[in-house]
Parts: sequence; structure tokens; C-alpha cells
Amino acid sequence: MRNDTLPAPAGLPFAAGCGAAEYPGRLLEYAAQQGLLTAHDQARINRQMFAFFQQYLARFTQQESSSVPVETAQNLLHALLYSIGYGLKPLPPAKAISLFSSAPPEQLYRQGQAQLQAGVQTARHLWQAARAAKITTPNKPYNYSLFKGIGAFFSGYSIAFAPQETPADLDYPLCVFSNGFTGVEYMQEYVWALLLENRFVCLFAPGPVHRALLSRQPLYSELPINIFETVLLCALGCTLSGQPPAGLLPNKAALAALNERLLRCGVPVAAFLQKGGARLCGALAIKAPELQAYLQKALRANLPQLQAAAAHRQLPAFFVCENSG
Amino acid sequence: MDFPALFFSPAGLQTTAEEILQYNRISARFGQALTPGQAHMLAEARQQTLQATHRVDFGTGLLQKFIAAFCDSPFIAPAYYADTLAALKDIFYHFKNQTQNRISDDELLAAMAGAFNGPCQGSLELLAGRELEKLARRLRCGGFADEAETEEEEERYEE
Repeated sequence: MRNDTLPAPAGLPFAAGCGAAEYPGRLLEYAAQQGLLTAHDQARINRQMFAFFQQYLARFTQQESSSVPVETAQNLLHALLYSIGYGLKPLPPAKAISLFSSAPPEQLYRQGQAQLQAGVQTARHLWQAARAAKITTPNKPYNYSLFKGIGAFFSGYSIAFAPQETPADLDYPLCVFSNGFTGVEYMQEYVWALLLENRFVCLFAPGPVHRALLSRQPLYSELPINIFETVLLCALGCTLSGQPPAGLLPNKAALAALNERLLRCGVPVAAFLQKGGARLCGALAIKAPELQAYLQKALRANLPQLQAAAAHRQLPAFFVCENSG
Repeated sequence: MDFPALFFSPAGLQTTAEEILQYNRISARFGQALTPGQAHMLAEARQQTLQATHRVDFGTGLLQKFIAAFCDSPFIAPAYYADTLAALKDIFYHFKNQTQNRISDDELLAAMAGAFNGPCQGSLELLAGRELEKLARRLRCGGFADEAETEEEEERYEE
């Protein structure tokens, strides 16, 4: 049967990086392309959705107003689609298309709302775990974002009428984070990445972490600087230069020698970096696959800079040696 | 996508006009009635006002509420009935924006009818330029300003 041959959601071209609000539209588009929905089906779905949208607007005004500003209506349409999309996203595409075309929009909305409730709970648990794994640091953006910034999300998030908004104040930048999502999808990704970064940095004593950050930026406690990235590069530099990673300050001369070897042997920097990451995981006894994957992702994000640094014999500066700040 | 266009359709216009005409049964008791052409004009004018005030109307029945609120006004001559309703509708949507949506349709209509038939004596200018401005100002201030105080302040300001 045709539906059985549909690939998994992550493999669908339209699903990659697609936010919940865009998902219903992309799903319909995809279903039409695959011949799973006729033009008549689409018109019927649009009619039903619009009728439900009008009910949703009335619910928003508590039946007290029959009109709203265009901007409000646009935001509410976005909110409605986000709810429905959030409920459909976890389903296999064939089931999602079937449900979308057969279930009343009210039911889709309610399912989405229930999923959103669960999603907020998940984000809250991840936040608790991230706080439990807090890094001891004077970095103000980090401390503010971890407690007040993320906390603002849980006190200000409106599942019913603005699930697509992210009422959080997040000054602290993560190492690899650009998901383009909003609402609880964004927050889940943010706290998950923050938790992984915290867990990694907590493998090191606060003293060496502080010294490494000072080497990179003497005013780091005031600035929105990612702690994890500096620690990761310092630890990797130590591993690659044959030192234990715990000290976090790689030897400059050893890295300079490594740079020469790299240039001489013509080893692809990407492979070198990947192997270095694997060695670091071994040295730190990192077994959790999600943390290993995050480290590799962070290292891949640094690949262009590493390639440039190696080409210009700047590896010691790239890895933040003791006297490179 | 022209988002407001989603809410406007020729079929919707016709439905609204037909619904308006049904209210002739009530307004006729007060000597007021709309022709099909006037009903259509009102429905069309409502859409234009919504576009001008950057609003979308998702319900039906607001024009009917207008008719119910104003058809018994002693200040509307039958010859000006349709035009007055159209003007009142413009004022209504304008003040929905001015009050930052802090007032319900029914409350605003009641305030409009009360002022139009009361202190304004049927003057649309006084209704929009004075009475509803006061109301909007009060609502924008969070409804904390006492009405009497506000009036005194205005009198002082006018002096």
C-alpha cells in the first residue's frame, strides 16, 4: 500500500527543521504531491479549519467581541496551527495525514494542546536537570539565563493562545544551537543542549574552567560567552597534545608541533577532529551517546576555524593555550 | 497571503445582507426599514471599514445588533437610517481600536446608544469626538480614572 512506503518523519524533506506551526501546511502539501489528498479533500480541510479558526477567535475574545485586529488574528492563526502541528508531528506521516484529513479540527486542536502540556512538562524536567548540573561560574549571562531567563518561559508561556511564542530571556548562547523553532519546541531544544553542556563542563573542576575562560576572555564573567565551547576546545587541545584533559590548558609547544605534523602528513582535518573527539570521550569516560553526539556536533561546527588555524600554524591559539588570551 | 481576504467573500456579503434584511421586522415597528440595496451597501461598507481599521470580523450578527440598538432612536430620520447606521459602524470599529479591545461589543454598543440618544442628541460628531473619546481615554488608563474626575479635568483643560 502506498502509505506504508512513506518515509519516517525525520526523513521527509518537508519535516527537516520544520516548526510546529508550519507542519500542517507542509503535511498537506506533501499529501497532495503524493496523491494522498485530492483538491476536493484539501478544500474541505481548509473550510473546516477556517470554521474552527472562527470559533477559536470567539473563544479568545470570550465571545465578547466579534472582531479583532488583523495582527491578533494572524497570531492566533499561528497559535492554532502550532497546536495542531505539535500534535501531528510525533505521528508517522501516513497516520498524521489520515488524521488531519478525517478528524474534526477541534479534536486535532485538543490533541495538540495535550501534547503541548506534556511538552512543557518535559522541558521543565530538563530544566530541573540542567539546574542540578549547574556549572559553578561567575558568568552572569549563564547564571541569569539558567534561572530567571528560562524560568520566565514557564511563568509566561500560554499554551492556549500563544504556544508559538517563547517568553524567555535567554542571554546565554549555546555552542551549537540554531534550530529555528519557537515556543516549547525551542525551549526543549535549548534546555536539552544546556543540560548536555552542563554535564560536560561539570566533568572538570571549577578552578581549571575559570582559568581556561580567563585565558580566552578576561572579562568573561560579564559577557555572553559559551563556557562549554572553550572547555571543550581546551580539553581537546590537551588530549591532542598528549596531556590529561582535566587541566584544561594545553601545552603550546606540543600543539605547535602537532600543527607541523598535520601540515606535513596532510591528514584531513575533519577526520583528525573526529578522532580527537572520540579520544576525548574515552579520556573522560563519556559513555552517554547523546553527549558524545553533541560533542562531535560542536567539533564539526568548529571545523572551518580549525582548518584555517592549522593552515596558518595557529593551532595553539585555536585551542586556547595558557598564554594565548 | 492577503490574510484579511480570508474573512471577506462575496457569498459572505450576500449572507450578511440577507440577515440584515430580516431585522426589518423589528425596526419596522419604529418606522425604520432597509431596502435590499441598502442592506448590501451596509454589508459592503462594513468590510471596507474593517479593512480600513485593520480588523477582521469573524462573527455574524454585529450589524443586527446595531439595528437593534439604534432602530428606536428618536434622532434618526428614516431617510438617513442606512447612512447613520453605516457611520455608527465606522465609529464602532474605530473605537474598538481606540479602546485597545478592552471593551466588549455589547458594552461599546450600549455606551454608543446611551450617548447618541442622550448627551449627543443624535450628533455623530459629539459621539465620536467627545463621548467615546472620554470612554476610550478612561479605558486606556486602565479604567482607574474616576469618570467625574475626568470630566472635571476636561473642563479645566477646555477652560
